[in-house]
Amino acid sequence: MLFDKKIIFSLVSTICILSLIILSLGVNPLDVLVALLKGSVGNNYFLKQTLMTSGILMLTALAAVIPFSARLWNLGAEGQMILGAATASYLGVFLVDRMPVPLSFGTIILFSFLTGALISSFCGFLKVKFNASEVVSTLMVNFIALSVSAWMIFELIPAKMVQRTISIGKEFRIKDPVSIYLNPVFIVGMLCCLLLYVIMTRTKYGFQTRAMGSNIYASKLSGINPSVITVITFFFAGGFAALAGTLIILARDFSLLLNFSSNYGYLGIGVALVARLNPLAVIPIAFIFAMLSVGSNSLQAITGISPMIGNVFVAMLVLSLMFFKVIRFKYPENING
Amino acid sequence: MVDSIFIIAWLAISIQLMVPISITCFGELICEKSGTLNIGVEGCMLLGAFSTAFTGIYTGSIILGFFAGIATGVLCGLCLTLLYLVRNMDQIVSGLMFNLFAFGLAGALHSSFLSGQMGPTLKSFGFLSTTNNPILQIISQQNISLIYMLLLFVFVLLVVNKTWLGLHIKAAGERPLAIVSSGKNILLIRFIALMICSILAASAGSILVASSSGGFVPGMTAGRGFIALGIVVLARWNPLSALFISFIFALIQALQFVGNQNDLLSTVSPHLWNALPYIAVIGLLVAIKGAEYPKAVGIPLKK
Repeated sequence: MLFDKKIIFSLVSTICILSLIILSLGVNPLDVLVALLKGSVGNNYFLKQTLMTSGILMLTALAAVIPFSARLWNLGAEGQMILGAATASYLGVFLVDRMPVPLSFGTIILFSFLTGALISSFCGFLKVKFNASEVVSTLMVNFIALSVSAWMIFELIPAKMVQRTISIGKEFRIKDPVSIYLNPVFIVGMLCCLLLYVIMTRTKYGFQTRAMGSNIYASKLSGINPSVITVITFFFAGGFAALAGTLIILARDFSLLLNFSSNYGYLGIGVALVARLNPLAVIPIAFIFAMLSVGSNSLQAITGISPMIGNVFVAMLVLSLMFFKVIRFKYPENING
Repeated sequence: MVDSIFIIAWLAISIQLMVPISITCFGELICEKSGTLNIGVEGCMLLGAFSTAFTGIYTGSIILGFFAGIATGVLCGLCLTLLYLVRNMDQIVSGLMFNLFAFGLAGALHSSFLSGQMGPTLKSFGFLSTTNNPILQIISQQNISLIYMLLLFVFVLLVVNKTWLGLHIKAAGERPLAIVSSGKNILLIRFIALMICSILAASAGSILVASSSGGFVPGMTAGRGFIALGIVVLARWNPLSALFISFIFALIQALQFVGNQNDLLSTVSPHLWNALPYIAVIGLLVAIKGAEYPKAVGIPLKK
């Protein structure tokens, strides 16, 4: 199955096109491959970054998996993540010495989750109530979130000298574990994937979501209320994306940075697609994508290519997998008439 | 509180901002009418902007830069045709991935070949600037791209309403099987619409570069393509409304640049003014509830 003809075609074509792009930048593709591997799993520091990023990508992928299963489009994981991070960094500064630490830590997680979840389910609500296309409204959230984070960084709680907010209290920071393989973000991401797998395959909600995705007319006739499912779906999707942002603040950056996200929200959509919307498959795919994303940060130093090329790698891989129909979407019958 | 100098500056900036957005809208409008939802406009704009800046900086000619933008639009259109029409891929997802691709590619090429350089720009109609007439003052701050936009507006209006092609584009979006059963080539019709869309989007990117510093900044389109997607829905696929609504959005977008010249407006941070156009898209989507896309939008044709 893994060595299906289609998969080999798409991998080969991805590698060919990417090599052409890298050659046109005046760099040997093999150098790039070595730099990618060294920069992602080459030493403990990079391995830690990769594990953390794969945890983040799992969560943003789940933000796409849930709605895509119901054939709803949440393209705003990036913005929901930034808003979650913004809430976490504000509360992390505001709550210092105000409440017992475990209570305020819980408050940070809960409120950040709710920020993303409510923003996202608001988009879902607009879709069911006003027929406002969720494609456009969730895309807009990304840009609103960027403006809000810029406002926080430059005006609300700016740190001195550098472009970031004031750092969150020391007591809220998630410490590095004894073993790097027990990365907290990675573990949280994995647990969420497992949880979602159980929800999607073993519960009534999961069944209704998938039923709505495969045939909305039949699911309506069997008594499923698509409006309710839509809002709940967007609620959880936004929540998972915001959780990713929260973990970035609590475990990695400790304050809100401008452009802290290397397009994690959009990469998450790629992960979800390559995993064919299966929450368990998200775990390994997120790790591979995290290697590409983290590894491309080292490209600048070794080969002189901008880290942004990581986006090209991921997009090209997803596009060619879709091109050879490894990833495909089913459409309801009779819609062309 | 609000003086005439402020109003003139506001309107002048708004018209400059309107030009790229409305050109993108015209393209997206034709494309959606033909039944293809092209989310890749943002990527087309970005790549068009990059190639204009690149050609402009290396040759020093803005006209060559403009044609490079159009050539990039053709290339993007061919790529998107391959994705949307030839392989029938899901338009929302593949369009989004195309944007990610374009974002990364333009960013990487930018840092390899032209970090931070300025290029040639379009000159504004400065010859009228001595007059006291406010309308002439506003016009004198515009450049040739305004005329280009108006020509495109007339072109799109004629194509959509008065030609064989416009009629068939409409049918391809509403009832694709009607086109197929009357023996016409539906893929050809959608291909033409998609090419118009990506060429217009890329040249909107060129104008974005040529009307500002002449250089490229990664991510410089800042969601303008996505705003155009929203405007097309708001305008209900009507070119005249699209022109009007993109002017309203440009007025909102201009507030972040002129907000500090007015006491009342400067109480709110420019960063928050920056968010207003995006909020306005969501707000207006709610206000015009029930705008239905052409029936076949986003659904690949079954063979």
